[in-house]
Amino acid sequence: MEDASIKLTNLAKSYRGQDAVHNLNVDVKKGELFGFLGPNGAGKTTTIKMLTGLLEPTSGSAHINDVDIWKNPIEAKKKIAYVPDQPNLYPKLTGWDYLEFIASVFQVPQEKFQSKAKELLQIFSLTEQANDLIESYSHGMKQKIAICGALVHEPEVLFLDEPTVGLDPKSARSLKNLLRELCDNGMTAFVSTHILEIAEQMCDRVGIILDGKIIALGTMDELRSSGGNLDQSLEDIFLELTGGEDHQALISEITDQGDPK
Amino acid sequence: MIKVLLNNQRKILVNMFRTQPKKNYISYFFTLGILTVLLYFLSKGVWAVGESISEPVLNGILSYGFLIIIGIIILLGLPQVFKHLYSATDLGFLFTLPIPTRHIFWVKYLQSFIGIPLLVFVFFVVPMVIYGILIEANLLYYPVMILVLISLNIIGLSLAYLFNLVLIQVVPASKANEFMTAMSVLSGIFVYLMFMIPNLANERPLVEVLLSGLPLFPDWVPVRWASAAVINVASGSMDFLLPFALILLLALLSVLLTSSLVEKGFRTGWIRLSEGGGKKKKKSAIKKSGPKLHHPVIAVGKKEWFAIKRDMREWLVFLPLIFFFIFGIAGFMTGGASLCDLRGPNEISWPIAQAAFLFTFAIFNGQLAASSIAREASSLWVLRVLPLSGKNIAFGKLWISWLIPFALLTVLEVAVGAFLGWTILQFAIGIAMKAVITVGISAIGLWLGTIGAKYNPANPQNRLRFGTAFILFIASYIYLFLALIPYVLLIVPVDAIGFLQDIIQDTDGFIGAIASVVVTLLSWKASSPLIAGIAGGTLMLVISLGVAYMVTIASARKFNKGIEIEMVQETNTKSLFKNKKSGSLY
Repeated sequence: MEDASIKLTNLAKSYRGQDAVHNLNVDVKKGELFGFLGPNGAGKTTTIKMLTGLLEPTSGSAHINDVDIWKNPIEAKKKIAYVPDQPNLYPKLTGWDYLEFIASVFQVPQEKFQSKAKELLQIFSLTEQANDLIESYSHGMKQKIAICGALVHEPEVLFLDEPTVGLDPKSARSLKNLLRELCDNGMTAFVSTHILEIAEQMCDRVGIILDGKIIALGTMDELRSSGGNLDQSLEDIFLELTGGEDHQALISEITDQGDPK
Repeated sequence: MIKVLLNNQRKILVNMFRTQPKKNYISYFFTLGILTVLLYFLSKGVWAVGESISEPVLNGILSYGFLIIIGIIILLGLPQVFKHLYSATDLGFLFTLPIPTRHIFWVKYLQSFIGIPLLVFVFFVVPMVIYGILIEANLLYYPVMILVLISLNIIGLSLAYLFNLVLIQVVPASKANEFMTAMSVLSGIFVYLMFMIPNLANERPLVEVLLSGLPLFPDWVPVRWASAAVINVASGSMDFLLPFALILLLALLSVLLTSSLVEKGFRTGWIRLSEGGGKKKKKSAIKKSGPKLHHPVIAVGKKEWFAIKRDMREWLVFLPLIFFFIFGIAGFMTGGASLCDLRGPNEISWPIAQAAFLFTFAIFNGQLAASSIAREASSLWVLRVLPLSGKNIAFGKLWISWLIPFALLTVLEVAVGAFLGWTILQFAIGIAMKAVITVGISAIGLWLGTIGAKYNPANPQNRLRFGTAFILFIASYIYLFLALIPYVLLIVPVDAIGFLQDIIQDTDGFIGAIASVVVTLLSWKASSPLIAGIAGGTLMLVISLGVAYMVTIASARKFNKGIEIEMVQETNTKSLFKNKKSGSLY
């Protein structure tokens, strides 16, 4: 069997006795685009932070290409890139300075950096703003430069937390296409998102987390067949599994009662 | 609507106090205790000498004291006013509500009295009440004196508001972050000039004029009206009426003037600041010079350098140095001396200057290095997620925090040395010695920064917790004292023994003890200069580089474990870290 690029083994996190993430066991294969879904507060960001070395697990382990991120953090971090949902970057660096900083840390060869950075800036329409300070960027532009920084050193594994929030439609489309292309070329992507259409269209496999537990895991076809209805959309499956259908029924009831006869 | 807003503020204040951690109450109690003790001694002093002060002398003291009220409120109240007018987090919300801007302004204006103006008021009103009781002042003295103090507070505060409201229209929005810095500098100069009025108006020194009972200011200066009103009413003379009416009128006028700028300066100013940069560079393509990639340690330092270079506020740390030099020299020149008087034999000027520079380094190096931790603020996650070891980060931050003050002060030293006629050897030894010694101070600062980093978006220069800042201050000087041993062995001429022995005879205690140690060291140097020189050099290297290495490694360990930055919020202080153990911002 092919080795997992990302391997979560009994990964758990609790805050003051409250379990935020329960023993997660997930393998993400090399070159796979994995969608990580769940309602607000389900534990998506906590999981991603444990996988990127930002949060220490209470128990269990997380391996990136066979390297334990908490036992050998530097080695593991050399293989990954992370784009958070709120990219708080250095306000007094220009976009270009930021990319240079990241490339310096990863010791990217100069020529390679030059061409890669220009290419990424072009894809995300940031070429003209590259020499402006990040503090003058909009949320979407910060998101885009953070993505450029994540991709400039060609990571083996990419973690994206709500990557399309704040992106304009063109950039969102560019990101989707780029991610698919990069994964087809061997990069592994672990993407958390609320936008189910994106997950449905892009992802090879999907994991749904609720209250810190994985409640569904598989390809779209596997999820559909487990629900017994092959015509179901990911949205239907998600709402069914996370209890959203009950809320939907309640909302319909309220609006029906409010309708003038 | 003002009533509704005030009521809301009251609720916020009550809830803020209710939800504070207990340790905050201890610090309030402690602060209150210190203030009470200060007030007690001040009042005791007034009680002791009050009766012996003649009326003309009192007139001078009060005029100058009233000038201090206005000066302090402008200088220290400015940041508070700025916060109330432009950086309060509730403004965005309040401006969306159907509340007249003027009403919001007046609530902010009233809020501004709590803080520096209130403190200043208390520190004047208590001694003045004591003075009134002492001289058995007329009963009218008390309400008049209180109203005069309130008027002066209003004048000072209104001037602080005017500064904000006017400057916001001049400073471009792209420089919003630097607005506070520009205002602090301008207000500093303004207050300095204000305090210079008595010096400019009189030929003789201030204290001499004050004690001889001569007027410090011309009659038209408003603080003279205030002091005349208070002195006349105390003796029961009705002559207080005119100056009293004039000072009240001035307070009223200053309020009216301030309020006339509300619409233009407050709301539109806030909008300008909220818009932020917005500046568009003319299609500046990517750098033509090509990328400059470095070793990670250099890259971390370079990142720090960009943050410092591009933010005027970062340079505020050096502001005291500029004030010290400019105003020091200005004071020296206005005192009738000439710069040539500073020149002397360089055997004396050089060691004294070296000591002064070391003292200055002790202040700036530690502070700059310590503040490099909290500078990360909410961007800390970037360093945490990158494959950077703690050593890379610690050494990266250390070299730049050391280099900046070193470069600046070396330029200054070269200028001073050239003026004082030092030899090339003196330059070389002095600069090399300080280069080595100051690494230790920077490393200590960095380490303490990893322990007690604090970030306050409203006051980004305040980057250390109080306790840590205090420890840094003490640690820098203990380190400097240790560094003094090689300094003495290497630098102080043996001829200084005689002078130091005079000090030992005349003084005892700490200074006397230091002088004894120095004399002993110099005696060794006199008997075997070469060995003393080698021992001094070795010791200096051991102390500074040893301390620097050990402390930087300790910082690196802290980076590996996870740094915790205390994020100060508008009304509360709490850590951003949900999980303290992890020490990550996430």
